[in-house]
Amino acid sequence: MSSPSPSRFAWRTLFARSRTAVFVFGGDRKLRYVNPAWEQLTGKPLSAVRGAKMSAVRRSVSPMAPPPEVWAGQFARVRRAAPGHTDGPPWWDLTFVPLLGDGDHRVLAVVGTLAVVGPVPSLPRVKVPEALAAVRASHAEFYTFERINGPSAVSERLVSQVRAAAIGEMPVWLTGEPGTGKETVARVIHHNGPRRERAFVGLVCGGLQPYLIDGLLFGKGGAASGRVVGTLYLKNPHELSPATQEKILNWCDSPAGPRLICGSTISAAELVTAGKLARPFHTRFAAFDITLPPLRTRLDDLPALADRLGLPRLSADVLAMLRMHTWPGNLREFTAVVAKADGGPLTKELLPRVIRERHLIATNPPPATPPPTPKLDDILTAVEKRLIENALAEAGGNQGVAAERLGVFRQRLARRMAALGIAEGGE
Amino acid sequence: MKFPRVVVWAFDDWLANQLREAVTERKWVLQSVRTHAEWVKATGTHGPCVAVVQADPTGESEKQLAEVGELYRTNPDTDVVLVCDVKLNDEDRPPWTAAALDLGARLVLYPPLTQTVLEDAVVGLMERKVGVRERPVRSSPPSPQNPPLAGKEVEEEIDLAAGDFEAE
Repeated sequence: MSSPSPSRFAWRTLFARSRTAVFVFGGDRKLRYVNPAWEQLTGKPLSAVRGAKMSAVRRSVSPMAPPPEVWAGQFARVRRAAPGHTDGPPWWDLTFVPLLGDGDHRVLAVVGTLAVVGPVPSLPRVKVPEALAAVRASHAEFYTFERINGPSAVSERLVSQVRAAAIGEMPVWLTGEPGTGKETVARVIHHNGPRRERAFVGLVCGGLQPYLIDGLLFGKGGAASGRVVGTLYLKNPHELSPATQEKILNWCDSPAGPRLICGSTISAAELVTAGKLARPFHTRFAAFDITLPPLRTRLDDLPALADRLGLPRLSADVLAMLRMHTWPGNLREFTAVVAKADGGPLTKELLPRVIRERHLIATNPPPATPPPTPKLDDILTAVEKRLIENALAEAGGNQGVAAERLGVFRQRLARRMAALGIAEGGE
Repeated sequence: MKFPRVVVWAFDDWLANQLREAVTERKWVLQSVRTHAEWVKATGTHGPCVAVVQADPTGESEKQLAEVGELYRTNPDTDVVLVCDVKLNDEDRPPWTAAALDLGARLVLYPPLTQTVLEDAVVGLMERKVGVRERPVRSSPPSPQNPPLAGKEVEEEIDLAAGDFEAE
């Protein structure tokens, strides 16, 4: 069977027989052709739309418009609300294929297809499958007290505080520098506490728009609508709007509400005083205050932390270098340093330059006190004295000969000898 | 300095395309991945990162959620936005949302999903990481119909709903 020659190929016939809605834009961005399936789908005849120009500037009223990248020669697939709807469903799924010219890569035409996507049906009740429950269980096992433990005294104190917090259900306020692991501590409290069967929800209060937080928690089918949240962790709650703070407080106050744990670099009392936080966060929801120690105060934990992150035993010289660093980024910074080893041994070369330089300076201290810079007068006096003494020595103590050698009068030599404390004999 | 990265793990390019303009405008890096190996590689490096994961609760979503959990445990500074592929009913949504949040997702979005909502979520989380705040604070979802931009020429348009096409 021979294929038809390109000039005779009846593409219109092919499109006309297709059940797929097809349209063609010319290079002048005007609609040139739509097939019967398109006409049936949209209810618009070809005669009514041929020659129409569609803009991408206002796509909401011109859903057929090819996006700009199509006119730049790229394939594109977009989903837009169907005409007459401000939002889908129904959606229009549009595919645009640009046809490029031979020479200058100009877009000669754009062929597209259209499919209508109806409302997404609400599915029958779906239980959280067992496989997902198993994933959650293994996730929870990760957050044991060992996760935050270490040989240093401050770590031991932290663990004992966290154990005490995990026993009860009282709200907790965690204060600590950035990167000290506040959320991890909150997780440990939750997964070892009485509400561990329910979910831990960590909310990033800064950055997310208030309506997103509202929707996530209090929207239709939101987390607050069922008794599914065990602990709500608020990261920097003072970044929430006052209205959202109020809603969350009311939710936590209700019998079905979650346990509240907040984490911040600043204490609740200071934030309330500054007017950034609703008063109940301090009076009712900061019953248990835990301050997380910065890494520089728990340097004895470094080998244990490295081991926990899957690193082979730290060598003595690398450990000495790590101990010299002040770790302003705390555990977050340490984790990033360890990650460079990629599971292998952490060598000196892999350490950041700031740590290597600090070690270099510490091991090669500069001289304690540099010698004082001599004064010019002192130097000239010393030189003059030496020259006179030499001249006297060469002259055998004869001041007249010495004065002649030095090119001065004898009286002047005598005055200088007296001033410089040179004895008559030249000694 | 490592550039802020937005990693999108989805079934197709639709999600990445929705974010492309917002990400490139801010000179961030957009990585669209399909496979587990690509995902692990893309999220394995440190630096400011927001990940968008598409999941189907009616399918084998536990695989994606397990990866979300794994990422949270190894690199808790990477924020994950989970995009649910299907609409769940009011009874199923809270437990599924809670499970996703429990495993470390920062936000769970359900259909219908608009470009602005997706941008608000991803850009907001990333701007917090890089310490800038450019987007206006919105207490209610934005209207899907944006007014034409002032000062820009609006070309001749047709409204397929109105039926007043201009024929050639």
